[in-house]
Amino acid sequence: MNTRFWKILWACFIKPTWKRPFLLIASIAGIAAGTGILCALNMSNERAIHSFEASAQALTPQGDSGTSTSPGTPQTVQWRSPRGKIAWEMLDTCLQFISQGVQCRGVISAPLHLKSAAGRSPEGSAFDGDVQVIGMDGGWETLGAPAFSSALAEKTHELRLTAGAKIEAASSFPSRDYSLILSGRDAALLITQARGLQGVSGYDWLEVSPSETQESVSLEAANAVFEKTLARMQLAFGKRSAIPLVRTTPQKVIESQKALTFTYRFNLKVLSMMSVLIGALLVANVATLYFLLKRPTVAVLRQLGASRKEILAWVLFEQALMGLIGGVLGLGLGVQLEKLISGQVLRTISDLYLKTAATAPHLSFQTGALTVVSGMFIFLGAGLSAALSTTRVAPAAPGKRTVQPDKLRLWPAFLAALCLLVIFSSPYLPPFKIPFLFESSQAQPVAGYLGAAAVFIFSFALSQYLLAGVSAAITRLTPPRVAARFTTLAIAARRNLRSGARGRAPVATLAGGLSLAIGVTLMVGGFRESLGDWLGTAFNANIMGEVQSLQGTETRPRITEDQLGRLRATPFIEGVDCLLLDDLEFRGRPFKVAALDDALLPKYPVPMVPFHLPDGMTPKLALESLTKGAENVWPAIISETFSNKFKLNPGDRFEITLHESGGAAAAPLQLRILGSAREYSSELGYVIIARDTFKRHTGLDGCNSLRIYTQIQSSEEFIRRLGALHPDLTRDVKYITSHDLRTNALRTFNDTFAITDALAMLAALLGGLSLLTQLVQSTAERAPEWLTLRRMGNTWRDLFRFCSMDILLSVLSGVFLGLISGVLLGWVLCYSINYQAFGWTVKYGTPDSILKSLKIAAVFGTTLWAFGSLASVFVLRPGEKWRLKRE
Amino acid sequence: MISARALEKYFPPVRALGPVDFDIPAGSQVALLGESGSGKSTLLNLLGCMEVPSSGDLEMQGKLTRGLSEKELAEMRLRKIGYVHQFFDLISDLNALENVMLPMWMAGDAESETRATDLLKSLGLGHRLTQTASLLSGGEQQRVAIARALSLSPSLILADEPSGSLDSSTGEAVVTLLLELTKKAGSTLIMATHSPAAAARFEHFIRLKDGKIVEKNLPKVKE
Repeated sequence: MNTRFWKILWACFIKPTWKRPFLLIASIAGIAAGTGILCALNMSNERAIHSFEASAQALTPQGDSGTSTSPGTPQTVQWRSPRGKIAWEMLDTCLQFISQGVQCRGVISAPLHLKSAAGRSPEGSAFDGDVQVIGMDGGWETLGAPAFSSALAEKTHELRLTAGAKIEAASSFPSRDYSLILSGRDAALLITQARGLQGVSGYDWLEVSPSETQESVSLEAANAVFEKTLARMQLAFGKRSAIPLVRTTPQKVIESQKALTFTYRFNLKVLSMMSVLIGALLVANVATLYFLLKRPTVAVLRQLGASRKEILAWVLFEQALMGLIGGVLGLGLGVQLEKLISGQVLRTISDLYLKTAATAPHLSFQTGALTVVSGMFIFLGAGLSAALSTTRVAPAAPGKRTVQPDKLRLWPAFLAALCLLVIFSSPYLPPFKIPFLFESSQAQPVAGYLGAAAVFIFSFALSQYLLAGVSAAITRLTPPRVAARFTTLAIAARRNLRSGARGRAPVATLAGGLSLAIGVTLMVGGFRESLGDWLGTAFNANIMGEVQSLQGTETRPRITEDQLGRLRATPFIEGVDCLLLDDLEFRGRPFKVAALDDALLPKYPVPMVPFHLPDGMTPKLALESLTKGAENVWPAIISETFSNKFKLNPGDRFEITLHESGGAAAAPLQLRILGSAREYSSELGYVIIARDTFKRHTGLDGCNSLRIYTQIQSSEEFIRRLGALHPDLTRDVKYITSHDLRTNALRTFNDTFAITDALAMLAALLGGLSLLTQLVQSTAERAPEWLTLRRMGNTWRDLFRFCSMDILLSVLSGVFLGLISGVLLGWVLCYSINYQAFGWTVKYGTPDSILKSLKIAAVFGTTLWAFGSLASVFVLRPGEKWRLKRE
Repeated sequence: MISARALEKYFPPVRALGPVDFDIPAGSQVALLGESGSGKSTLLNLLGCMEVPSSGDLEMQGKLTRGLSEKELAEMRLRKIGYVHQFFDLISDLNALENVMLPMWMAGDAESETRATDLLKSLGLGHRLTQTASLLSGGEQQRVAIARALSLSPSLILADEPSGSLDSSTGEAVVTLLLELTKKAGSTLIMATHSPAAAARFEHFIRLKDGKIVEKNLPKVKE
């Protein structure tokens, strides 16, 4: 690049831009907004992933329980219970096999909030924080004394586990997290006590490993011996436990957590990419306006002999420079935004994946550099089309007719049509795995993500037509006779009708931001109403047994048949519905069996979720039919998720294998599908059969979940009276009113979708900020017109009305387009992304969510109109300064 | 020399010019006359290499413009042609001196400042060198535009109604300036004008109507 390049770059591009602060601020603010959001999401992702991985790692086995490194030694095996805790006595059963060449230990792992005594910390200050405490108990090479993680050891040497129990570090192991390992049964008891889990105490898992390395034996041979021992051990466990233990390996646990991490990363990456796409569209809009202002200069340079390549080089260089400044500012903005949204992201992870404690925010050099560089490149990429169109400016005087105004082009219409094709075909394309991207191990609704991106591009492509359409309609409605009464509106409409790409920018930006807010609102609103319906039908009784969840594993204490009988015989209980549950695998994938009680109460309606049943079959009839098998084929109702996962439909037959009470597999159970039921609580999938059938096949009875009908309105009163009659039933079962259950479930739901608040907030911020800058910019661009209007005798107040009407037209068009795009986006989220990812049918376009969307559109539009008008007029005072200087 | 043969320009569906034929020897001073919409500006744009003919040939200094690449056309505009517009077309954010230096920068002229200063001083703008273009009067802006057009001593100066937006005395002064300076430099001057007074200053002319030459008086081409 020679001196000429730099001289002209400075004189004709950079210097004039610096002399127009509004143009500069508007452009840089647009880039900063886009890159800031990108940075915030990246940082939030990093922090969330770090927090998630730290929490996930705390759950994986510590110490020497990992994968064996010795070539001749089989891998360590874990026994876990589908019901959560494993009884203390099971370790004794395990230890009986020590003589057969294995070692065994029980492990309990719990996050506890612990404090140290003052003066016991290296810095002299007391430690006070969450620590992952792992208790190991059994005939292994025990550690003997408490071991602290290196991170924890740096903070303290002594912690107080309970009021009377202190733990002093004897050794340490390398780990960046706060964790400690205790040994011996007392330690496990202490943890249980500290955690307040008296009702459901026991080990989290049992670990079994060959007692010594056998390097002289091949791995196959060692595995065969080990397998035989494990098989004998399984039989021994079966005799002691009603619920069979499930065998796994630490490797599998780690892999499953990795799979979760990948899925989580993928989802957040998709969100990030959507925000980048919106940011890029915003930048494209900013660039369009920016280059329109540069046209006169470019025309002169072209006339003076500058080639298109040179023009492109100059405009791109200036763009890159502004992108760099915007990127640096965006970095600062992103750091602040991250503080706002990371809490929401973490709440979502905690609910969707596992309880996650937030780590400190961290801006890595990589993220910082990526933000600045990507800001620059996104700006360059998004503005390339506008820059190329600038180079096509004819080398003639800008005031002459050879400089043609922007015309409505046809290609965006084709693009919009293509986008519609992508949007409406997205639900019909199956999800697939994309291992090269994010290493996700699960099939992803890629067509849905493309459909969502297509909505934004559709909105961008359609914006100029919509503005032209609205303007044409107003022009037609304001013929000269009417225009005399509505002068400002008539002029604004006629101007916008011919403004082409110039008018498109604010409309597209507003529509982009609004469509995201409305699309997400429609999806969340529909989801919430679907869940509310489900809760209303499934839990409409007064009091029921609580369903507890712990780390994604159900821990329902099963009540026995005898206890059920006593409950049913209790005078103040009118009836009890009972549910038996089991966790199984079908075609290699997990699902749940729900065995419904056949003793239906005639006094109450059948409390069930909505069914998809054959014509003429009612839900009550379907439930009653569950007990009526023929030729050993039993009717079953499957959940929608199960139906989608395994492609099974009403009338199809399939076979499942239940566990017997001893733990062994029962004879296969032949089932015929009666219909399917909606289900929003689990992505695993359910098969609903009669409890009677379940009992006969497995020998298991009792209930895992209860629904109790009573006239007593207060749960405290109910528990008091029940406790007086049956103390064991108040100890083993926690009771909660259906109202509280519903409230808790909806609160959980709100937590799950907390990320959507962050998204809506970003959308509002993005749309609002960029629209304001663009409106101010477009007002500035019309400076000569304001001067002409002033010369024609218009007052400053008249100019305010002109500005306001111009902005109103943009806002009206943008809101209308935002509503259309938002409805499309909501449809894609509900029917494509959500359905394919989770297999749930979500209500779409419910009255509440539509009303909320309209409110958002109205508030958004009105606020922007008001602020845009005020900003344009009071910041620029159009015509005011020219009157003072030139007239 | 400039030579046009069956030169035509269409802006579909409108034929803006042609077919026209003429020869203009180097160093001539020719007025381009005609009513609005007669094709004066279109012809000037073709001569200024800002448009390419739809059909016919335009030969400038021995080169046919139709076969020139985008880069060669740009080079022609920079080195061989100076353009003065009715609306000046200065870059409003640059000062007078910078506007004149602009073509010199583009041509890689290291002595641009001295030459541009001399040019502006010779046009009576020595006291306005650092004044931003948008704050100059109309006459001053047009003189800056003339200085810019002459800055690389091009062989052809094209002026499109240079006095059109000026008062009569200033307009007359601008025309005088153009005639004197191009004569002194030996450049060809082709000036489109509506003004009978300005047209009267030219010995040679081309009169256009509806895109066609209806009358012309051009110097004879030496064989």
